[in-house]
Amino acid sequence: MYVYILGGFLGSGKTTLLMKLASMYTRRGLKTALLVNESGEIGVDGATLKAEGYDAIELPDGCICCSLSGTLQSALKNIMKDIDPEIIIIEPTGLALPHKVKELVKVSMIDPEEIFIIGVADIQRFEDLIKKKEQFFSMQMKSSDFILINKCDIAKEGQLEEVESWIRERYPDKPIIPVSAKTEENLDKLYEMMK
Amino acid sequence: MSSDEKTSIEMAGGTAVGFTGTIAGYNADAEARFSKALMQVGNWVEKESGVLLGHIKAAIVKEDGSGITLNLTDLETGVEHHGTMEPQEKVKFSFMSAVLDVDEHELKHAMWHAIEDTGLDIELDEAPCHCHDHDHHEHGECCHSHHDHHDHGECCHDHGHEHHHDHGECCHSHHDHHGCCCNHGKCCCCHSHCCCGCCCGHNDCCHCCKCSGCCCNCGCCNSHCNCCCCNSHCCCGCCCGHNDCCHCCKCSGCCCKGHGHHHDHGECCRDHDSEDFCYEEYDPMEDYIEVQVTGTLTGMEPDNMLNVIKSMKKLWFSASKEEFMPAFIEMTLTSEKQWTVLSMADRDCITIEGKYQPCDKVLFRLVCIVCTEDIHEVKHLMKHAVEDIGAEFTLNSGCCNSKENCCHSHSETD
Repeated sequence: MYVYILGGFLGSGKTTLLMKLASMYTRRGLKTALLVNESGEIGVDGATLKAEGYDAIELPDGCICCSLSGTLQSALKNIMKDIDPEIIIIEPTGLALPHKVKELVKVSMIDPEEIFIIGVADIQRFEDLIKKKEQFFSMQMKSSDFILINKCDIAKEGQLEEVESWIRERYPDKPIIPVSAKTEENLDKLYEMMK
Repeated sequence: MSSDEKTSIEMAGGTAVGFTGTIAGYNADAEARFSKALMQVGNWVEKESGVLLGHIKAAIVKEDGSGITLNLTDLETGVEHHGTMEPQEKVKFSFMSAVLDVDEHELKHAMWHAIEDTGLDIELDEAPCHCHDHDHHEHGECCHSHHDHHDHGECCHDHGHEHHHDHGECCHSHHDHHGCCCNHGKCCCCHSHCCCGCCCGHNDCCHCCKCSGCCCNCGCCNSHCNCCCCNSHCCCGCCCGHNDCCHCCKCSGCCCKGHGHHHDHGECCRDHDSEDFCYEEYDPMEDYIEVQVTGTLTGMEPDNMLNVIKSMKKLWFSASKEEFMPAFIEMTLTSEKQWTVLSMADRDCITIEGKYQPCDKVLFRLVCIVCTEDIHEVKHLMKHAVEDIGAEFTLNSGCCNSKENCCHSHSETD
């Protein structure tokens, strides 16, 4: 069983990506469990996924990397017991630190073969985010196994190069894939890299 | 984690709040209105923190949990809609925002207001906070914009923050406190509220474009020479005394009640100095009516989409020329896959929400709020506005003369 954690800031397109990944694994015939976390007491992503035809376990009202860490571990155990999936995709809140989630999954006694973090950077809001929360964004990206530059379909001229060079400069060893989760542009490259 | 350790939300400076409730009478219009609420919150966040970093989401679902979700992450892109749902008698909704650099309580408050402003029949699962207590909103007004309980420059947002009114300043950047405005030498931020004392003391009331009636009470318009920005209200003395009342097309009728015909000699039919005149009882919108025209447009090309904007502007001018004094025009276009709302609350500005793309067949609803009793005449102009879009159309409310056979002199209004 493999676990994927989608890391990235609020509004970066994690839920859209989650749906695409779920579809891809369904097509491959793999049993997949989705776990979505929202920091607000009111969860909406679960409804979004349901509206699009996916069933997901929703953990609202806190962050699974800190305040809901215990809840995450219980949820994972229940998923293993009830669904026994081959793939678990976890979408933490956009205010979570994915490396912390990874640590929690490691010690949750579900014994995954591997845990991957997919970092999602939003090209549209990149400049604003870096201006305001560079340190936090860097913390979100630093433990990613690969980084997706999302929303490339709406990138302005030169924006992709700029964002890519910023990320490459800081994380030279990480694969960087420009994608559009919405239009599925370049997602095949991501799929190839996934188990 | 220890209690001293910061959560990631705290580290990011993020805020996440939400609430749930039910909506009675859900349909495409309700969806569009809810979507507008998201935009309203998004705009508020941008105003507060400088940029909308985060997302504002809503799920509207049936009993079985299926339904639609709305998602706003970028104000330019607008609200994304996921899923479709047939009209329902009652639906549940969840409304949440997770954004950066705003006060949690203020954010929730802005969300409550946005929901309230939709005009939908909504019931919240939790009661709004004490300062949103509508017991003190005798006129259906909100304390956050009407400032009617700030006798001593106090802020209804004061939740134990004792630090922000030392100098008549408001930490919430709403500037909506009398004490606040009055004590400052400039009212540059007072664009959403009446500034009475503030405006009166200044010669530049140029920001008072959305003033909800400062002229009625304080005479600030009268004392100013430049009424060029008074485009949201009739300024009685102001207009009457000037030759340039060209911007008063949106006059809410504070003195002349929008009739526009009795200012020949700079006189106002309402004697504001009279003891009999009661400003409190006076409703400037009482003579306004809402007129709707609905139907279907087919074969919408890019040019036709552009014509929608042109026809709305033309409708505004036509109505102004007929002295109907439009206050608001809104065109909603909906198809299976997209919706667009074009709103015009000012003769020079149309805001567009949703996807504004050509679509083969769309349902439309054109709404016009004008000051007249002549619904037929307004409908007539509105039907011509639909005609001006240039696409094939059918109206739900019967036919109308084409321009060629129209009783109006279109050379005048055109």
